[in-house]
Amino acid sequence: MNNVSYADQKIGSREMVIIIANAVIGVGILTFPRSIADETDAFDGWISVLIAGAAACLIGWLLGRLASRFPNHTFFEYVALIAGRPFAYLLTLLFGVYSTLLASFEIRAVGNIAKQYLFTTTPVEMITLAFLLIVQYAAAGSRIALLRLNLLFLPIVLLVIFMVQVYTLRFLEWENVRPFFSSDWMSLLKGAKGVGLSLSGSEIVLFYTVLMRRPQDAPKSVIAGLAIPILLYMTIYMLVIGVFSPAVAKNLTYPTIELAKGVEVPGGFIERVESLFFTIWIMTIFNTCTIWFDLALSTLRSMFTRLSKFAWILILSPIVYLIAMTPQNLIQFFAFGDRLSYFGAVIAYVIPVLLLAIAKLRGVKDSG
Amino acid sequence: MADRRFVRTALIGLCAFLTAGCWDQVQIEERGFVIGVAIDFPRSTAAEEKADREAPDKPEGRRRFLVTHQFVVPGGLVSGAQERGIQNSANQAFLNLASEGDSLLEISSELATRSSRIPFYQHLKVVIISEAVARSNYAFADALDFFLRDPELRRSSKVMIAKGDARPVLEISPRNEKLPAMYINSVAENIRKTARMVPEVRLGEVHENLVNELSFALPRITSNENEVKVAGAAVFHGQSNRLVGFLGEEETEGLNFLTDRVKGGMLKTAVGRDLVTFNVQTASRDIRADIRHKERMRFVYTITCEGVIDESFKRLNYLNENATKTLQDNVAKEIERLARDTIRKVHKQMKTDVLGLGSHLKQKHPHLWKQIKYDWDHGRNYFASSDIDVKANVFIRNVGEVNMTETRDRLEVR
Repeated sequence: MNNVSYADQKIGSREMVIIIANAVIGVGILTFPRSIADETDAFDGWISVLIAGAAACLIGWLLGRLASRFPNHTFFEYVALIAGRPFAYLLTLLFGVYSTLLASFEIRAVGNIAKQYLFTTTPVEMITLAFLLIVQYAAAGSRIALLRLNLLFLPIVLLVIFMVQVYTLRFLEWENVRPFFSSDWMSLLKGAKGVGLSLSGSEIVLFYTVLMRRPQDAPKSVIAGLAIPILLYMTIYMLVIGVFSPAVAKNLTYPTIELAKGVEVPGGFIERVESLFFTIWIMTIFNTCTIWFDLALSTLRSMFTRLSKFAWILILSPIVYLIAMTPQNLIQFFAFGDRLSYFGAVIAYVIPVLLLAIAKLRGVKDSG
Repeated sequence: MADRRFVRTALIGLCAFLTAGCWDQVQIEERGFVIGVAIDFPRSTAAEEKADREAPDKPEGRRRFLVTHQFVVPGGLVSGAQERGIQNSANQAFLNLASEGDSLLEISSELATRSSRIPFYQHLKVVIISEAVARSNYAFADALDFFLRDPELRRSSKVMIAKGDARPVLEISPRNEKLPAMYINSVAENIRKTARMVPEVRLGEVHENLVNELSFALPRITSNENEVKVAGAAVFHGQSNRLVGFLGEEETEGLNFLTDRVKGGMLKTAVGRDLVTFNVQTASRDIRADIRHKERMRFVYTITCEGVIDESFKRLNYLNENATKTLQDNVAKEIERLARDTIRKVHKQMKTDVLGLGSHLKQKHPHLWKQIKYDWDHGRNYFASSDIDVKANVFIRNVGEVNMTETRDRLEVR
């Protein structure tokens, strides 16, 4: 570790790995075992995670290639180089909308979960607002500082999740785990679709590569960054099924939270491990949310350069808040998340991959 | 300049005071920690009729429940309170409140009108359900829905079935513990010493059993004035999720051997007219299935058991290989007898598969299981038409500290 290197305004590839991992781990980690168990109905769902993970890695790698092709340009600039300015305006604007919506989704998720498990009589509006204020504060500061906060949080997050997993191991029952390989490919693919939505987030590489010290490492970093959540999801899924059985996993709103609630640390010193779990989960959501808020700001600023960052924060925050408050119940909230993922799949995966193909064919490269 | 700084500091200070707060603040003195719940059907219909007269149009459930909550009274937990002159009646560390209604949440909120402390379920240890509730259609799952759904509750509370009414179980006054629910909770964990109780079944596992199609067994609990007895098993049918019957203590021991849940316990065997008692240390079981004919499947259990001799009224030279061999065979026969008794009851009488055979087929022969799972222990009942046999192997690893306690031979008196 070289401390002096932190003084510059660049991020290393290892930091990129951690940022990607943090952006991917979000709301999905709580619910994805249910969506896989719905389709596969067996322990085999880990294969679904692997399939979805492989697909996410492939797309992430392509996105990394696109971004590292233009190491000195922002997203707006290189899209303009490839497809012309009008299209760049449109796509960047869509990305701005997407990031704003995602930030809204994340803060509402915190509101919902905190309301259900931690503050039952506090209005969800208030929880959400408080969280938004902190996100604003983080986004108002230096971008690099915000990104480096990820470095601080991820080890703690992983440690606590690891602890939860170790202590739930003893509730694992073999009769829930077996039979192996009993699901057909169709259901595994459907399960993969379900978990795929929870593996989105690597698209941030399109925007942050320009900050990298060695942008050519971006594709590798994306894959390494995705490997962390993929591994995490696989182990969580195996444990959820092993502890609860597929039939129960299907019937739990937040299977991962139930897993944490079941933890009993021998000795009785810590009885409510889930409170620890909520803390670290809110930490990852905080990271994810600040990243999206920051991206919403930077995409909009790259088009409308006249307004200051602070002005944009003041404009965006009420919008984020109002969107976050629109879903009236859990079903609408999940539907909002699903629709958002499909929207994201088009603008963050399909279009950029097409752009990469065009750039390759036309031979467009970074001129500077 | 200094003025501005003062105003700014004051503003920040003011904000800190005004914005700090907590909607969810509940003082610990206001929480009523519920540690045990007992669910019965009400004895009389008086309350129901009264409610009907008051509001004839209100929505009604199929069933009314009588739910007893056991609250902790922290003052009673202080040791030595008695010596300091506090009356014995005030020294009780628990308070039981019972209420009647057709929804458990209704009952819980009704309790808030009678108790100075709000019911708080996070530390719920045991849920005891009466035989009548468990036998009735749908009532068992209905009674547990609240406990599974409310986020305040955890899936780790233990569930037990009372033979008869559930309420008296929480109303005992144990001699060496202050809280009946905690006492029951501890008793249910003593599986290292006995195989005659079903190892603890947690609320989450009951949920698992309810949504799975397999039959299951829960611990049975009985009580008298001062103590409880956790022994025996309540057998539930997997499709109807209803109690079909109880297994006695020995039958439960057999069940535990057949389902690989023995963690300890003892087995008696007679050599001649004298008893030799074997202390079980570990046991495992293996199932071999012959599934060529769906209508007549054959299952063979092989139970392997290890342990030591802890009591012997028969003078045997335990250092002799032959004596140990004979004993091993005798103990094996005893295990087989226990297992066969259990099988006879659940296989032939109850026709309910709590022996783990369905689970075995599901794990080892998933394709067959997909075809027959709706006809396993109901419908065409392939389970009942199957054939089950048991073999046991016993290993005596140790014979204790002494070889013989007395060397004199006993006369065979007829």
